[in-house]
Amino acid sequence: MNHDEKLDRIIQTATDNIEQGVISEPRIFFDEITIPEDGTIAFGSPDAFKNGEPYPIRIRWMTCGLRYLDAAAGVPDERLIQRVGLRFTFHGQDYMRREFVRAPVWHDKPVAGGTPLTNGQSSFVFDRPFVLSARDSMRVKVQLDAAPGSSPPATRTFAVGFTGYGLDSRRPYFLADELDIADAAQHELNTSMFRNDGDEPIVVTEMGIYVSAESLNSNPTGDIRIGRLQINQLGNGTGAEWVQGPTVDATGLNAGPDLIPAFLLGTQSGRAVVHKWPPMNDDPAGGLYWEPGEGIQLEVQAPASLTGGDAAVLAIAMIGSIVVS
Amino acid sequence: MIINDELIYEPRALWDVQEGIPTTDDGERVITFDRENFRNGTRNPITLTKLLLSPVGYTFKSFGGVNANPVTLGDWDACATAIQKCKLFLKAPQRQAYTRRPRRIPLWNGAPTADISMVNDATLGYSAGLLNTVKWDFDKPLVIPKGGIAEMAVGCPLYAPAFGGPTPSRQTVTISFFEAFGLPGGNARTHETTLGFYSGTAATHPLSMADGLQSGTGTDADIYPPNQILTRDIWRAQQSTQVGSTRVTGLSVSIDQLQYEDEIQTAGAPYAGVPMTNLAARTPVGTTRLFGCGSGQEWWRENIPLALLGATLGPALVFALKRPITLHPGDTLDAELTFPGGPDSNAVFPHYKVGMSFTGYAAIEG
Repeated sequence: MNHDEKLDRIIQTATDNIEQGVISEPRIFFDEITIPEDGTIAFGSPDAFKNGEPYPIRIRWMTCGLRYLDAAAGVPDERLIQRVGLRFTFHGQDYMRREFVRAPVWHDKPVAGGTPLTNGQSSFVFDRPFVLSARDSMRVKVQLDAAPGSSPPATRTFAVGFTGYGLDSRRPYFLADELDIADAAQHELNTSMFRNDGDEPIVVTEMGIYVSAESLNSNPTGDIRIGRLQINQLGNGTGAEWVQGPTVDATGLNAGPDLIPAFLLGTQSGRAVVHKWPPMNDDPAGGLYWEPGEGIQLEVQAPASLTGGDAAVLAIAMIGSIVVS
Repeated sequence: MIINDELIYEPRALWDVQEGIPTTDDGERVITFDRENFRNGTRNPITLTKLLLSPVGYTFKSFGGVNANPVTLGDWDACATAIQKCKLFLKAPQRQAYTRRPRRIPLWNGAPTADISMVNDATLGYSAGLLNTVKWDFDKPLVIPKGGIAEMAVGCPLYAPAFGGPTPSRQTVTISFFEAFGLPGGNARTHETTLGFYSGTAATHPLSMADGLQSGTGTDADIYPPNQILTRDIWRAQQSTQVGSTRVTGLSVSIDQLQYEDEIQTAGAPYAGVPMTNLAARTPVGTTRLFGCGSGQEWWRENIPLALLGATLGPALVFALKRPITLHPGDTLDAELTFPGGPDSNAVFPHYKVGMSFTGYAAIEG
């Protein structure tokens, strides 16, 4: 399928959805789990990966990595993700197998960006594009896990952008905003920058996230792991927040538990382990299909003394889309 | 899955490694890949879909010093030398040459298969990559019938240079085979095992450059120690083919080389502070084949550098052939490697060592 045909299909799908009153939006579930130091199994937050909405959700990707802790500890050693084993249970079946499978084995999609880029950005191509109607906008909440240095005062730039096509004109749209952040508080990007001020709906296909290095840092590569965000559509759409975090902040590290670590959204390019759920017997389209109330149970295990007594927290997400009719 | 063309497809990789060390400054040199290593010596046609090119046997990604002429041969122990300065000429049977003249390796358009890169500095380390995994999604699923078994051996990497640090003790290699079908309604699981990972030094490692590795002069027979093999017993114990045919879609090998990387960094100059290569480019892969089903033939010639199997993920440059090459029984390929001659102003001669593999599948009458 060439580019024009892909675009035709995206536009046609969006048009059909509008005519049929179908709303499709991204949905992301995530959890943060402290990795036990004694080799025992951790289960994460109860029902973190459960569809609590009254419409079906299809999960396309699982992403994971070690999350940023705080300014003092940073990320303990990002490479230790290689030793973390995962197991999912869904309707009594273990996936990928009964024994724990190390995180790199799950990684089945090349997502590496260029060396100068990959540390500071995440690129997320939506499973199903969503429609941003005329006068609609997006609310994007952002936060840093640690305040930039204060002496002398520094900032980090947090930027978020959405790209798509005009439903009628097929012209490309690029809606983006950024904020220089000097603290660890929650902020909101300017909604007017994401507003569809035209007279046609925009079919939004992907988003990009960027967290810069500290403004006074001589190393300019940025650090996507230190940023968190939450998104929802204003106007049409469900209005619900796209990201659903753990019910409790079991790690004690997360000031805004509903904001997802930005690196987990790097399904297209970034620096997370990305697993694309495979096709199924009766559904060649692939992915996990969750009816309302359905979900999946996660278990995590790592070798004893993995981090030598330091804390290590696994951040993990299930990413897909909801279809509301 | 019902195979209605009555063929079984088994993965295949044909490979060779060549090295050039110019000794005089007299322009470009040409060495020829051994065409016997690309010959289809079986009675089944082999279809090749991807060309993989990788520097083999290097410790470092790039020269870690200042931007100056190398002083010792060790300064050339950087894979960028081989992959960026060499040219490749390729000719397939029944066709004209792929190029009219040797074409620089980076121009063979690579598919995005790289590991996630690390930011290398003194506080973050100089590791090869975030995941250190080589993965190959087969072009066609391998159907293993009920009771069928596969076996795969991953060898010891050769450490070079002998950096003098303690031998890393907490290394593992994880070998995985992936099944088709997700849950619910299928298995979608791996046949996977995580094993202790041992290494050799030049003094103990007997594999030669012709085997895809360099400088091994020792006689240690334990290149493939028993605990580094996904054995038939392990496969059988996982009972993956107990209930019926299993469609295997790919394989992966993950090497936990964290401790190796950390030890190198403690070795001081000139090793510390230089971005490292994935051990996949220094690790041989041994006997891999089916038992009790399929052709029983080995999927590749023994001792292939692991990097040359990474058609989906890994350190190799992967060029997807627009039209697959089918080698009929007895067919082969011709390939030449061109490398620059001449020493630099410090009279140090670099070495260029490039591995090339073609991955694809053999079509076997069931």
